Amino acid sequence: MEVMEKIKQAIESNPVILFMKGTPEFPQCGFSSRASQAISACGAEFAYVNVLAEPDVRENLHRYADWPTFPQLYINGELVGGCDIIMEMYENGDLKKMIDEVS
Amino acid sequence: MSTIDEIKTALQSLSPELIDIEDDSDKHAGHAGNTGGGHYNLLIVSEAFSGLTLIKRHRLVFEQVEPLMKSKIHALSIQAKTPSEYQPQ
Repeated sequence: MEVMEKIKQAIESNPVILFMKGTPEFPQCGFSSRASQAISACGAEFAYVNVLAEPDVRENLHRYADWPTFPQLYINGELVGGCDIIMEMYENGDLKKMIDEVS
Repeated sequence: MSTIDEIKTALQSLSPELIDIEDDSDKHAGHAGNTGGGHYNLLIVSEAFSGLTLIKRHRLVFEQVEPLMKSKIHALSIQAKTPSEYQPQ
């Protein structure tokens, strides 16, 4: 499957999906670690893609939503943002609201 | 010119009232997936963010520094505030 199609399918078939470095259990980057912890703390199941294990996704994800860095959180097919936005929305309660709406 | 100065120069297009950049690279040297390029924490205060959502503010910042991403910047942590939101610490 072409990589952009693979990315699109992953995003469209999972209401909450985080593209991160490493896994929620073993994150390989502080930003990915904080982001996945904040999403977990909202109490929902979420999908993730470890971009270190999928080099083609890592190379090409920035083209999908024109966002240059990892992690990237998508809810209902829309890019929510990276670590700073996830943390700010976690702290002000918006993240939990968004996640509750789709789960 | 240092990378911090290059970032500052690139962001002048947003007419910032305040820019503060911290080089956080030491904390992340050589971690997984870092292909070079530093980690920076940016605080920027500008009227340009007025009425924009967080994601649009971050996009606006990334657009200005786009030529530096990949090569000189590995990660950029962004706080983008309007002058009325900004409370000096």
